[in-house]
Amino acid sequence: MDVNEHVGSGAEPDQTSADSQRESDAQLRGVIDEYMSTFQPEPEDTAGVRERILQLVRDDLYRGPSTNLQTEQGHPFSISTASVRSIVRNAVDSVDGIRARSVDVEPAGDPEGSAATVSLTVAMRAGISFAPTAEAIRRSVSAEVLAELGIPAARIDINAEDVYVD
Amino acid sequence: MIDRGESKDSNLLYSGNVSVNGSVNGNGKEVVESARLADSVTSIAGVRALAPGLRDLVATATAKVLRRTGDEPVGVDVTRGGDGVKVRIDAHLDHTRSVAEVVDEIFSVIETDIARGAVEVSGRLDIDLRVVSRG
Repeated sequence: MDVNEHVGSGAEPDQTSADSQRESDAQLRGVIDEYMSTFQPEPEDTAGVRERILQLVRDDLYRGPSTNLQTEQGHPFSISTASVRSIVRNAVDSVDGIRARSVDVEPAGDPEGSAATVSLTVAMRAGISFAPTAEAIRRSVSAEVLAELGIPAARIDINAEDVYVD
Repeated sequence: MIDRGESKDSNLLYSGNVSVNGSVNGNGKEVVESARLADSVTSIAGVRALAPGLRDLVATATAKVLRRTGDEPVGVDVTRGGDGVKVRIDAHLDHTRSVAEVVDEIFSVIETDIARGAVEVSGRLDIDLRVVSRG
């Protein structure tokens, strides 16, 4: 029961993530170097101190992947992908007889990030008519994304992959 | 997320690039500017809190590794590079406004602060804003 009406976007989150990680590492090393140039640690503290600091910071820094968007006024920002998915998931789950499964949100629009493309898979309660329900899902997701993010959903692809019985 | 570690000497505080004897070095200016922006940004409706910036994370990790106490995190990182100034903010938002509304106001507040001299900018201004969480 695949009702994809549009082709998915071609974003490359892996490359962005790798670039971001390299940039963060470079910044971290810079900040650590500044600290260590103004501080003389005790001799017993010096063994591997830089790597220990770096590891602790990396552990704290990791907050999961981000989605890059921008406001109508053209201000770019990134938001944790988990937060965006949560907004979409709540909108989907608010439709009677529908449970969200996977949710994917990619930047879209021109300029990129001024809108979002949403792709999701859902489970439907047995006996529900898909076509009108898909429209209800689209309305709900579109309204919620605009209200919560302030960014329009340019496209919402829905794939019903399972049916459940209450 | 802030672990101050075991305190060995409470007189040794780490805050950005303030050195161990309390004097402010050349980059201490960036820490002061970061604190100014952090005050402005946290006053915006819809901003629940700021996540510690890189300097705060390093300060905290350093304090932990060296078993000293850390200072309060600033939450905004102002750094100068070859071509200008970068302002990095990791923010936690609440549900009272849309994300875009809050983002626009953060940009506006920072630009206003910069216009009135809270941060010295020569060259390009790069604002790197990340919404860490919402709720």
